[in-house]
Amino acid sequence: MTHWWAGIPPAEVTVPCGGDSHTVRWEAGELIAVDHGDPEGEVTAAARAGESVPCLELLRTWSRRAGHPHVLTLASRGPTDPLNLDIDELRFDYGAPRRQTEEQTLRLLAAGGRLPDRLQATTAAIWTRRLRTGHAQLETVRPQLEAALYGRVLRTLRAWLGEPQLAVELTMIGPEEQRRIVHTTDGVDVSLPFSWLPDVWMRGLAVTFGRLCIAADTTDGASWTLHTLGPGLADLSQFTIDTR
Amino acid sequence: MVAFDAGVYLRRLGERLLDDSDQQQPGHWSALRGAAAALVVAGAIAADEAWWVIDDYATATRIRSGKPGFVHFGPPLRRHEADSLMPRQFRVIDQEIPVGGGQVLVRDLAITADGGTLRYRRCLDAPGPGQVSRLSRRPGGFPWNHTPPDIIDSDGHRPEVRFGDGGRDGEGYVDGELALRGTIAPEATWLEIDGTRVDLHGRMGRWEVGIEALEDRSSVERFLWRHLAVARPRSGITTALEPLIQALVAAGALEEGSLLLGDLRAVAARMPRRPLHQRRITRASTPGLVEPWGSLLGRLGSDDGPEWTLVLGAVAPTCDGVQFAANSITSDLDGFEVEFDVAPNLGGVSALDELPVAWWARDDLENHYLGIPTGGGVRGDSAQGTMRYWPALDPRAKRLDLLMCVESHQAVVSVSLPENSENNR
Repeated sequence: MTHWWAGIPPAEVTVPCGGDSHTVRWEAGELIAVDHGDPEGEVTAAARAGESVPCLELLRTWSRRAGHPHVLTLASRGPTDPLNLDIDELRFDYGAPRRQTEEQTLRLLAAGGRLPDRLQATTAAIWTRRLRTGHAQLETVRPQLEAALYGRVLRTLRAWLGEPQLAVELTMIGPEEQRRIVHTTDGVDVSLPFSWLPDVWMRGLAVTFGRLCIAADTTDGASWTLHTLGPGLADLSQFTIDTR
Repeated sequence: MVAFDAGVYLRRLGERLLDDSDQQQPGHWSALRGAAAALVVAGAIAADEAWWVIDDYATATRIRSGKPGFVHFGPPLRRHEADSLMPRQFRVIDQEIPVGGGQVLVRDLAITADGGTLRYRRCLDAPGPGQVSRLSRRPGGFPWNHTPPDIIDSDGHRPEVRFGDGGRDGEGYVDGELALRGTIAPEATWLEIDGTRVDLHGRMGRWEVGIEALEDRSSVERFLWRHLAVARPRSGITTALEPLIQALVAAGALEEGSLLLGDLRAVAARMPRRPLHQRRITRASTPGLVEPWGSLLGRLGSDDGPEWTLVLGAVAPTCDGVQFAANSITSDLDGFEVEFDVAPNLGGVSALDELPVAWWARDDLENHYLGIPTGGGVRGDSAQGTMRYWPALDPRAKRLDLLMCVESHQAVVSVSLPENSENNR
């Protein structure tokens, strides 16, 4: 079994920290403060001194927010959907319940580099696992998960087929169920599991060589078999990419 | 068959709107709002849960816009209990006076036991590109600058005059008010404002007030007809019903092809699409339209309204927690206006689980009219303003009922209209 982050390249962001420019890096599913050798010790020392360490604050915010599906509601739906926010120009109503955490999420999404993409990949991977193993909040957040999948499928299909008004009906299926995408009189009917997000979309494989990828398998994290459809949606075929 | 999930439905709609920047609306005017309210009235989702969806997508929209400001909005508040409206004696003035090198239209005077409110309007020069038209930012925008005028009534009373809290900016004008403290004679026939005399018109209309139960309808049916009757404030643009209908059909609360849908769509297709001030004078064909819509649209474009003003000062009983007062009616060729007070303030959008208040009117000839708030201001718990009704008042009508439709009841102010021979101000 391969890890969910296999095939997703590292990403870095520069953080002004302690008078220097530090690097925070996402790699192999983890966020690392590269310039801090003993994060826990430094956090404790900084707390005693009444100071904050921006790199470590970023790590802490990440760990708090990465598991929240709200990330998927707010994050970009792909290259045609860039965020355009200046976090310091936004205002937050701290009196509103649930919104106290929103600023944290938006700070992560405004972090720059490819970090916001890695954040939503992490969120999607967490909920893919929870859908498989069960989770107390699953029924509550299911509409958000379905919408997250729907929005990204919608954008992908509209751009790929060149039909900006294409109607898409989506059924979110289980990971082992039959995946299918078919034309209908009104548009396109899609049956895909939520795991399509971390497995395909988050890896940038949704459209590869002009074909729509509905599943991507690997046994070693280097060689990938893509199950793809052409624009006619009738010719399911697979091909292999070796990333070594 | 997959069970309908209103949360999923709304969020998918949110995703489509996010992909269509033309459809995105700020804050409380979110394009999700109508569908959300429809699903709430159908019992498919709780109001607070539906609001989270609207708010989530308001935030998602904001962080794609590059605009500063709040990234989300609290839900619209439910109507709250307000103090009862106090009857006010009303006098129409409608006279321009010179103030500070310009002209100010002095509109009317409302007299209370301990003073009154004098409302005025100042027309602005058309602002150039990039010019800010707001009164507070225009040098010399206040007609009386920093000192309120000296006012005396025909009985010699000289109330203390202060700038009032009410008023608003409109398209090319600003409304303001002066608060008068002290005695004003109820029978006063004129005021002098810094030495310029204005006459107080006082032709009183005869009126009665009451409450009627609304026709017994299902909550979904009432919801849809009500939203068709409630246009955007000021502009008068009709609510688009299809997103509401589609949500209700998807939820199984409404059947595609039903008689109700046929009636609704037939009326919606004939409703004016343009803002109130841009409507062309055209008569629509209305055979087969259900009432009151048939009679409303049958006279669309009429320009034979009588011209008069009636002073009322009628306070209707509280109806489903809302009270309104009709202070005066002014009829003109293509419609009529009612100066009104309402408590609580109904400005802004209604909560998802409340019906918006509709302002109908009917006459004794079975014609119907629809009102649109075109301006006004807030005064404590209440609001005051001008309601513009369309189409033109039928000149043959002898009675006009002003109807404030709330949840299951409507308050009525029934006014006896002047005879034809009286149709002069």
